[in-house]
Amino acid sequence: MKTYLWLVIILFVPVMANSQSVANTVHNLSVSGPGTIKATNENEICIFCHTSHNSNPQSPLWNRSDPGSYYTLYDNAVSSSFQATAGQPDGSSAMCLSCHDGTIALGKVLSRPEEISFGGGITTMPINKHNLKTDLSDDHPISFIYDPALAGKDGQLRAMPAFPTKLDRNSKVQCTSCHNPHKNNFTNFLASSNQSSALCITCHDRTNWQTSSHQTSTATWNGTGKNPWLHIDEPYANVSQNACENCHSTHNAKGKARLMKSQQEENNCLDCHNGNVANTNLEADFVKTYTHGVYNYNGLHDPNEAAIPSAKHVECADCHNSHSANATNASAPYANGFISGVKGVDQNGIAINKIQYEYELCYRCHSVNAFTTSSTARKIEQNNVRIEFNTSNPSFHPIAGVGNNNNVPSLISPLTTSSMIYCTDCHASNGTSASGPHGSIYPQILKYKYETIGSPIESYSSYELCYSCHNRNSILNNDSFKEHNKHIRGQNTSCNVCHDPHGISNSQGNNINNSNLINFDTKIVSSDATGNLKFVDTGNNNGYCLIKCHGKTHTQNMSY
Amino acid sequence: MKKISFITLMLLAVTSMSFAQTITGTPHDMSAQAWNTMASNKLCGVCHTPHNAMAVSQAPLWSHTTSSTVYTMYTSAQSSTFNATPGAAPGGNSLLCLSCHDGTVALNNHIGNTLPLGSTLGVAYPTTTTLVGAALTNDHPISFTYDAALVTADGALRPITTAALGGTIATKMLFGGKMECASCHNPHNNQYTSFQRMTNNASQLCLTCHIK
Repeated sequence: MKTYLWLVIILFVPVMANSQSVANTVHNLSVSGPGTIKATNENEICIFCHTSHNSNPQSPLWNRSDPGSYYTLYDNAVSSSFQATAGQPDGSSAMCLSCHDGTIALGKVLSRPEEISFGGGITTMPINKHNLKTDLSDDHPISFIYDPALAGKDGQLRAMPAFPTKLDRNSKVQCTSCHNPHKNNFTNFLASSNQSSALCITCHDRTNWQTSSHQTSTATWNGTGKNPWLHIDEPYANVSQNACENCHSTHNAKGKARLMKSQQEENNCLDCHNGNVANTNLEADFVKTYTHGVYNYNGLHDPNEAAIPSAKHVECADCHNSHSANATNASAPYANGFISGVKGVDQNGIAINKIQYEYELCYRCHSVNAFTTSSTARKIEQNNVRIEFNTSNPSFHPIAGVGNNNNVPSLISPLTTSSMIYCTDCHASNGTSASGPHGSIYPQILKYKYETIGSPIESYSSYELCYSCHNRNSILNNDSFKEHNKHIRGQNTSCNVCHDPHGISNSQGNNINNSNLINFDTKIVSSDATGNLKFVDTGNNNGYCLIKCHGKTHTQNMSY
Repeated sequence: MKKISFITLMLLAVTSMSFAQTITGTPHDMSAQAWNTMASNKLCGVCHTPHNAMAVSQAPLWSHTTSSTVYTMYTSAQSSTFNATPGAAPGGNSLLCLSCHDGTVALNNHIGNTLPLGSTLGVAYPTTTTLVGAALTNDHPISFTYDAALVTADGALRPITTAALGGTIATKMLFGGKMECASCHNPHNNQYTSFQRMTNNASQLCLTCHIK
């Protein structure tokens, strides 16, 4: 019995002592190794990398040949935001690659005259995710100098890495910055746990990351559809724990630039934002008829692009900063958390790196470069939305400032003439979905139906967009314009025929002819016999039109 | 036939066992070398002499002429993770080993037969993996102090009180507190090949000091 106890102790002690040893890891390629790739006869463990005499000049006491300089690098041709100077792998990285690039036999060591033979006829590292091959453009960059100057240029790096991440003697990031080849306590020989990307953030310091939803969300995958974390070796259970790795792959990244897990930009987001991790199903929005067509572009978006992009495109990252986004609510005109930390253009047309107001984001594409044009032919044409919302315009919806019409009896409480609204109050996904304009079954990505074509039969649903703010009864009761009912119900005229919902530029229109968002649809409204095509405002709830509409000429005699 | 082969086997086993424990028959047994023209003491005489030995520090009755070459040591220039500070040149018993293994002194340059390398009969060390040379930068560092301070600085070395070779690292593997060739090698016993002092199966010798 006593002997048995001793046996137990003897058996257990070495196991305990070895729990942190290379001997227990797959880097033990000797016959005693725990992995499947191991030598058939070699007993020594260290020998696959180290020798005590006649080592390769690479330190420390390296027993393998330097693989050479034939690697395809991760450099600023791969990623425009990579600020360091890329060089061929050197230092310890070259040593790691002497196995992990798959070109040199695992058993080819300097101190053995014959190549050490491996089980299963294995010579070089088999093709698997640990074999990085010689194309390193899909792996985290290595062998570049990391110093405060780089951090300054990058703007999103700590001045120097924090423990346990280490630079080598030449201040370079190497494989050993993140990996400890002798200990495998944290998967993949990481130097520390990477839960919540603890290792990544010892270098990477993204503005607002700590409060972003991707850092704080405890959402889990519901098991439906594609596993969004297939690219992670040992994924954690929730978004917060997977952190950077939700979207990025440190090695073998399919989207090479910035090591995105997916080559298709939108899939990096939609793999989770499809109702299976995140609550809202944006995938369903993006297959609707009218979308911000993230599927239609590939490789055009660049995080370093100007606030006013030159080439028309749209990706999730054009409107969302995934390192900063959070669920904070806001009131118009302020940007909410979902679009925090993104570029924009202010009401003066000045490019800004961080928006304050939501409309500034929309102006990136819908102002000076006007990637979309007005859907209605009007007396006054204007495709620059920023100009349409100018607060010195004769009339405008209150996007960039409080409106200038203090007589809007139709407004539904709590809205008043002092209220401001968001672009996304009208332009948003329809149905019960995320608040943003991802996709809608209605043209112009409108949140509700807004009939503009032909002679629509009036109903709440025909103009639900307008009636969401403007009380239908008030409109049809002619509270503001005494002929509203006659036009809308009697003549099946759309709101859109007389009103230009964004606003009318002060350089094109004036307070007399273009108050109350009047700017006629010229497909329906034409000039009268004397060439007039205008509305004349003669005071609150008073005015007349000089136009011809459906064959009927409107004259001053019809003033109200 | 059976009997003969059995006896041969037994003989082989016995001799190999007995050889394993002594210098006889090991690569350090140079008694049969053509250049070894000593009349007596052919086995030990290459390194040792019973009388009138050279005055060499830490050298028991030393006979072989020591090297005057300048060595390049393994320092933190070789490895940024090397925390020790070796002397400018090898010391202690390491110098004795290097009197042959650096290749600058003739193998047969010893008391009674001082034949300098380059002289007609001076025998050079053959170019093999055991020729260490004067550049020690690709060899495990030697002649550095291994103490508690180094253990702390390195973080991956075992304390010198760790059990080793029937004693501790301090008592059995260090010489004047320093690591030398003899920390790992016993020139008189090749039981474990490469004159290692213990088996390096599963890299046990390396892992005696290194926590890896």
